Amino acid sequence: MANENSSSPTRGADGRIQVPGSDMHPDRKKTLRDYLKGQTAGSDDISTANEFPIDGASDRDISNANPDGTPVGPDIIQQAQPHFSLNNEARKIFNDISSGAFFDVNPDTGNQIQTIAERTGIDDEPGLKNDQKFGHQAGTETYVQTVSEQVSSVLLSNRFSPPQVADETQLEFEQRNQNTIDNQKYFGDPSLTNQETRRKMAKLGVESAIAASGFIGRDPVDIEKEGLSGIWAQTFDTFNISDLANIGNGNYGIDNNVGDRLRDGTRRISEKAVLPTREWLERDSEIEVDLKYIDSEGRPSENGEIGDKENHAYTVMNSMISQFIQEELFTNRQYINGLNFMAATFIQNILLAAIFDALLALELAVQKEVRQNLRSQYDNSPVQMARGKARGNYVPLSDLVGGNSSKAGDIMELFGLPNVKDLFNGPALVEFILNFMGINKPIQAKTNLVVAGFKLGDFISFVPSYLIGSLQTTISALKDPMSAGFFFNLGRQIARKSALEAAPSPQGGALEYIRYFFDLRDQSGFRFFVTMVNLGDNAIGQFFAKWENYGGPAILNETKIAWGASSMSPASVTATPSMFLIPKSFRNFSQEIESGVVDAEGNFVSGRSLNGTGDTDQFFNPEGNDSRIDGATAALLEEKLNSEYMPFYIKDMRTNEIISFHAFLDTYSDGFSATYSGITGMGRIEPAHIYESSQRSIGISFTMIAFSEEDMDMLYWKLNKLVTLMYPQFSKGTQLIGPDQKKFYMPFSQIPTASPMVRIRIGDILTNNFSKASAARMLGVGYDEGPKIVTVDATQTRSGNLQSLIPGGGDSNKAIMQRRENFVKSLTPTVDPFVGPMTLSMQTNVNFVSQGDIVRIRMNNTKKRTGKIITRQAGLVPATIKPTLGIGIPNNVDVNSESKSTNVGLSTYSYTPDLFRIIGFEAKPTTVGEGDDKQEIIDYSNIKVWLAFFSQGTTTRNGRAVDTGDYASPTRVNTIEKLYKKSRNKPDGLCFWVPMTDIMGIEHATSPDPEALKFVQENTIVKAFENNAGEGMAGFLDNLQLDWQLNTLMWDTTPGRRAPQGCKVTLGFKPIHDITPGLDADGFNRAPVYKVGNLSRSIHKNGNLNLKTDSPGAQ
Amino acid sequence: MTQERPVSDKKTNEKKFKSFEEKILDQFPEDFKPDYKPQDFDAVNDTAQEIIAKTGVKEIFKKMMIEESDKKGFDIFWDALVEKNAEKFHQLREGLKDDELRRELLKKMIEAGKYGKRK
Repeated sequence: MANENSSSPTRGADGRIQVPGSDMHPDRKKTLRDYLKGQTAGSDDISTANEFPIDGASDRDISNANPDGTPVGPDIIQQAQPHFSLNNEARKIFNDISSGAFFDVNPDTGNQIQTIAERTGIDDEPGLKNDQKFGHQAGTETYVQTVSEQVSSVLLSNRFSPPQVADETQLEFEQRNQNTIDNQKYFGDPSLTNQETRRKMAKLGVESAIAASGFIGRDPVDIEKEGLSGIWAQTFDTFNISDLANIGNGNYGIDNNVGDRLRDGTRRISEKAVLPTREWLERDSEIEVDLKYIDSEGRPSENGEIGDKENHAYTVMNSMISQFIQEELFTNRQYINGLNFMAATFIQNILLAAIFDALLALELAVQKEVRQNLRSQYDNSPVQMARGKARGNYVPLSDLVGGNSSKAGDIMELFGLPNVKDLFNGPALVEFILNFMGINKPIQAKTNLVVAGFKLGDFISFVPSYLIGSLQTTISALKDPMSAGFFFNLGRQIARKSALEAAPSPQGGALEYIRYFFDLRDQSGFRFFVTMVNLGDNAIGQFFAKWENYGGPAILNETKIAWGASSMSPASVTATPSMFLIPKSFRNFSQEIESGVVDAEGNFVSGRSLNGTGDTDQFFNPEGNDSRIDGATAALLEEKLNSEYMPFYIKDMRTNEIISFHAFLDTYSDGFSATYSGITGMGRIEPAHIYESSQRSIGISFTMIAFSEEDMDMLYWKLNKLVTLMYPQFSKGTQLIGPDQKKFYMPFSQIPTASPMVRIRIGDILTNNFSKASAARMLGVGYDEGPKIVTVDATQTRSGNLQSLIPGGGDSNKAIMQRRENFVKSLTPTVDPFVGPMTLSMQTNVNFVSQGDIVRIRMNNTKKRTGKIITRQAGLVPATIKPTLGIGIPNNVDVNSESKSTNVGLSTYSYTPDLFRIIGFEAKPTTVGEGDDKQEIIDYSNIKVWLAFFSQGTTTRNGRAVDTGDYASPTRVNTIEKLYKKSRNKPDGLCFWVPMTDIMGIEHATSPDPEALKFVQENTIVKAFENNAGEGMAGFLDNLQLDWQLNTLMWDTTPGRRAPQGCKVTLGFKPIHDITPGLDADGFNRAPVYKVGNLSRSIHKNGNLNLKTDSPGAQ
Repeated sequence: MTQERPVSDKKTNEKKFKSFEEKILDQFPEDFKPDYKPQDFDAVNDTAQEIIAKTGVKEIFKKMMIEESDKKGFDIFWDALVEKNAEKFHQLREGLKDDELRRELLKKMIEAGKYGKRK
């Protein structure tokens, strides 16, 4: 380095740096920044005005392009800029300043240390901008230097540009200084002399300037003469389809018009690319170094080698620059290239997927047994499999050996001899293919791919898996256009090593095919294919698993409800909506004084919609003189917020306004304290504590950050709203009548009225602890002497009605159907929309059967007639649907007889029936009518009754329990065992449905007593809550601190927004529980404050307290 | 829950200032939905062109381009490439229709796959 002799500057006795020569002029004592700022402003004179003023404000065209489109050279730029011109006083001043204060001096001489120019000895060579020295002597007339020259010299002296001895060749230099040159790619040519090296450096600067200037490339070539140009030429060439005349037997030949459009496109692409052209560089006679670079068409220089490191560096640089100058993100070259190569990969691989599908399909088409075997693996009926009972790879025993000689198969297993069929059966074949390809199993893609009447698509299909996987990947990749360059290169690598190579000739026989397929596996394109298939397969599998195991779209509806709508919106990352009140009086006021805050339509001028929709913040505009947002609207918004990922909002109870936050929760503390009074008594030293009161105190701090101007607006709007929560609501004041009989309110007569009560909600951890259930408990529901909501009827009172739904002697079908219709019409869906597959959402309004009733059902021993049990998922074995065999009342038992017994021979069998609880009803919605009359109605004619197991029946013979007969069959035992197990079939573990006609009678019927229900639903506690409802915890803020995070957060500097772009808010909160926590008289938790988890939440379950008391059945 | 005024999903006001991410999303085709489903196809009898056409992917790619000339170029590129690959595909599949040939190939595949999934 040049300053290898450096040491600290010379300092005087006062410790100040001694500057050789005279003291600086006072003007020169200005800071360098002030000085340059003043100088670079330039004048209005075109010859001296600065082309690139520091503040960026220039009303003149600052293009550095010549009329012919080529960029102007650096000389012109220098002359146009005063601080760059050679005879400028400012430069001398700068050099004066810099000559002493900013550079190290030699302690012996007091002068600046040796310069590069001095060391290299070529300082007097004219013409090169980098051939100057810097330092103390640079301030003299002889060595005047511009600022840019000095900067250039720093470039030359950095580690990439080690000084060389004059006339030392690069080779000699490298040998002398191997370590420092190792990383230097630019000077890779050992034949270059020092001077040439410097010219290269000079040219590098020029090229960078051109690249940054947005140079417009040369005109597109004539497509008729030279073929396709630019990006498409490159693309077509890559895939060897550049012979356009022959593409598609000439059908794809490009006519003149198309050619024009292509040219236009190419030209536009070229115009938007930031690339130096060789034409321009080569026309500059002063710079003769033969550089390698990418030309305006995106091709490497003819003098360069493809893959050359320099080319690569240019490509990377240009790609980086081009990302920032594109007007349209989706038109840049890298993006289009990325699409092309991903498309090419797609075409090749989707056909490869089809080949593997065809391979299996063809084999399965000719082998009926193999097809059947594949099917039997997925059949629900029990099939005895070879090698034990495991499904999977093994054939059904009957298939393996045929007929009834099943033992032969067992013997073969015993010897461990594989049967040919065993190896070549359907599932094994599929698995072997998957193993061969290296693909995870199972393939979950389902299509309607049918082979010889066999729906192969149920079991395996590569095409959809690849399709989904690759599309997901491509779209995910390309929706980030900034990474287009990466995917361009990736796609190119894959597409060039195409999976679908030239096919072997069928005449070459099996060997060629075998070689082809085995070679295939080693290609990188094939590995990409496998990855995409696995990805797609997983995606499909997850989709179906979610669909099947979690209730299809219903669960999605529950987790995300669009504002004011019931359609689902799975993307849950949205702005959380708040709602603020803009009362009528303010709108009137604003319009009267024409403040422009509210426009002619009454919209609050904020860029936000008034009573708007969507996921953004809302301004609520009541029609009347309401000073509150109505409860229903606020509740609707709370419902919406409940479906957010993590609800966090504050509701002002005075106005029902809701302030919700997208914020970072920093701290959250929650503490309880109890106060006791101590009483000391005779003989006791310690006071006895007597409970007085409890208090809960909550601390919350969170950080809000604005990411946009809109955010900034709303952030401060919300902060202002937060401040109002520390102050009361005022009254209107005292009304007076002025001289002209005009009414007005006396200023400062307003007095505080409503206290700022709020409800704060944070997830499920900070919520209200109210529930109708807990409120009902406070009324004494559940105590022997308390109100009774539900009446338990004897069976007989209602079984008659139920029986009327079952065909009996003498009934006409029409009459039965009519009665059934009446029954089902009495069912009311309690959730809308009504969706399958299982909806526990209906209630009867008349005295038939209701949710909660305990019923007996008919026993079924055939698969078709009965209801179905959904067995639980065990490990990898998915949940399956089984018939409910063997449970219920045997068919030969007279269910209406008192004894419930039957005589068989000399024995008398007595039965206690299995009992089941009704947990819901299900009916399919069907579409009727067409066009405008089209509507969905619930098809009640085929209603299913969902049951959960209640109790197991018993059988006795002559008074003694027996284990024979219908009530002890293996199927029954099996079914009962399953019924006891838990499954994912919420809400009550394992359950199943039966047709309504299978219900033989009601053991216990429950129905709410309307009067009692009304009492517990509409008492003062509930009403008080409903008037002030909200999901959050009620209470008062007693502390609000705002920390503007000065060393962390950015400030907005635009006028009117000169404030931090965020802040940290700390709140102190004193909650008031809706139901004071504690134990009830019987020692049970009155109302858990943390409604988290199934156990704690279950206490708050409302059950039939949610029933409407005004429904017909409740009257 | 009752709803007192009609609301809809439609936003009433266009946002004036859009984030970078929103600008990108704006350039995506409106009808590009994630719930795209493939059509049925016949891997044995459909031509390569038919199989690829049934996936509908070409249109998806084209929707991701803005310039008409790029779309046209892509059209030609896609069709030509499909045609080129179709030839290989049909030839390959014809061979697989030979039962003997296919059986030999499958045996080798079984041999290669019997020790588990290829890593």
